[in-house]
Amino acid sequence: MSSNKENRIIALFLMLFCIFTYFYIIPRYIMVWGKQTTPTLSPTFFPKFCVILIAILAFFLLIISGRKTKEERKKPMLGKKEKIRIILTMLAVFAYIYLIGLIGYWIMTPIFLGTIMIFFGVRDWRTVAFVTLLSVVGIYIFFQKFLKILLPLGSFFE
Amino acid sequence: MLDQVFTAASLIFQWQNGLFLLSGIILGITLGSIPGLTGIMAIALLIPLTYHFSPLSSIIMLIAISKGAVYGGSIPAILIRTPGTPAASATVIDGYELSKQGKSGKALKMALYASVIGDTTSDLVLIMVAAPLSAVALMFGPPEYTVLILFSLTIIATVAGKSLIKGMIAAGFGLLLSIVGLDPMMSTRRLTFGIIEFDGGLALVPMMIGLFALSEVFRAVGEKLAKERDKSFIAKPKSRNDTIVTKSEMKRCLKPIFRATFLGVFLGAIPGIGNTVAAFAGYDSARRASKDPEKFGKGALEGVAAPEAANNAVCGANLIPLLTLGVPGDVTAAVLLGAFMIHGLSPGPLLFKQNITLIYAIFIGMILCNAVNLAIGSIFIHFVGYLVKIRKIVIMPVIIIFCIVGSYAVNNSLFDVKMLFLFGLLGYIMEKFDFPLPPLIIAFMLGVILERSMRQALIMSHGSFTILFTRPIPIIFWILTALSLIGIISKQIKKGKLTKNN
Repeated sequence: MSSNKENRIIALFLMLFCIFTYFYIIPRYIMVWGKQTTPTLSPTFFPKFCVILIAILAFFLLIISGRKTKEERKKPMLGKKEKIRIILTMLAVFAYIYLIGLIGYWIMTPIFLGTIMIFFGVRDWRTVAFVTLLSVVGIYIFFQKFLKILLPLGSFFE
Repeated sequence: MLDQVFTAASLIFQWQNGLFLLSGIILGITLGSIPGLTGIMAIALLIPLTYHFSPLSSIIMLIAISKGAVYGGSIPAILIRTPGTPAASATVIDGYELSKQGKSGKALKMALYASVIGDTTSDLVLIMVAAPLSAVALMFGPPEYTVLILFSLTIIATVAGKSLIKGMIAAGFGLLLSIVGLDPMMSTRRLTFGIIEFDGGLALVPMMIGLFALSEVFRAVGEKLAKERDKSFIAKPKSRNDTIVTKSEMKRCLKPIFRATFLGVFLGAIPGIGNTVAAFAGYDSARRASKDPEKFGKGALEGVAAPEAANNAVCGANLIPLLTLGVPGDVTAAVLLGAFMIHGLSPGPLLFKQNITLIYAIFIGMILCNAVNLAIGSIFIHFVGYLVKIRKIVIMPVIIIFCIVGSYAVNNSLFDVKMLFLFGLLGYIMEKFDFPLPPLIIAFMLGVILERSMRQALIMSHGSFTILFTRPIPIIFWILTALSLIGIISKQIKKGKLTKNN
């Protein structure tokens, strides 16, 4: 559960986000052609409605989080090892997504699967090899052969 | 009339139609259970193939696919917290909790039974009351849709998480994300930031997979103890009782199932609402009527039964506006309309006059689909037993690959995969700070309809909001919304939740 302090920070961040979106993002990134005689028909009407709604709710969150409580329930904190593991996994997924466009499904997928399984702690090479082979071939057969969805070849090989 | 019914029965019981029905169910459940693939995709892929088959065979196969897919979506929702189809988003809430407790078999079986009961009841309603129900659906204009959707979003925000305000903020963000793309009335670019791929709006499938599946993988990776990560990715059942639905559990869930079914039938008959809203409405109805609403969100079996009954109940009800008025209720019905037209049939009042035998055959086929769904679904559940042995650390990388390929499959675009990653990060951050995910997804889906209805309503009233407060149906929904909010806020104040950390 989030603490009151965290909720206050989130609420303030949301309110600042709403102000930024209302006064900068919406006027700059929503095209309005001509003068709108009826404001409710303008393309900016619904975005502004949503932003105001979020801002009001964030304000309520701020008020509720400001109340004193008997105790703050402590959230289980992630250790340094766990944080590093999460960040490395995210980076690995990002790298796979980036490189699959360049090198293609057939090369990147076995590399990614094998590496990430070993990183997660699978030590039996036969399990790694079997799961990798089964997944790569199985996905190819199902998506490309059966559903006719061409898997990325990679721009180096096209 | 009886001779037409007998003729229809003799048509549907031909071996070719039986084969198509069976293949449709198998295909539907299979595709529905893979996140990223949907029944609509299967229907759209198979329509050209059906040129060569009879109208009855084609239509019954396509209907079987849609029914199978709606049930199939509950399988990954329960096992890996990823709805296979958006309609299973509500099933995730209690389904995944049951799976974590080693009761995945129980949850899957309850989802199957509830789906079949909901679907069969809805088909019977379709057969008996199609015409009068479509008359009610015709009474819904833009102001009614606007208030109905706002009411639906309130319900979803309240059921999907511990904090009402955070649920509503998540819904607000979902509405904001639905704006990306072209304005529905003026076709001007909104919040595309110069990126061409945003012109068509954000894709739902990568968003859903990223928010639910990828974020869960990131969370699971962070589990402190190595032995947690080494556990089987589906918790093992502790006893035989965890793998079956007992008579007393079924009896307990029957009322919520039927309540949710009738809600699903009503909402399914209204074009544009869809089975996702029905699922959440069904979940909420079960929670409110329960003597122990606190157990919802922690593995309540009714929390699986009710949404599954409701979302499957939409399958039959969806066909009411299609068959009686020629108006498709949702995307699936729109694709089915295409199938009808390819075979020279025009849904509407004339169809009942000119092809009544075909209509009766379709009705009988729909009831048969449910029986086949029950049989095939039971076989699928049996195979889940083998998945229990697979360790989390082995399956998580495979899930990542499925997420990526599933997102890629939507538009054959790596851009969607990049969106998947961003939404995976967003989902992880949101859950870290206790913002529920379902309201964001549902609001995103309903945002376009809400905006279009709201602006159409305001055009009707020359810019005045009073139109939303002066018509009878919107007034009813405003009262329901107010009662719903008052009920939830007063409950939370009583329990002191509003004065504690949220």
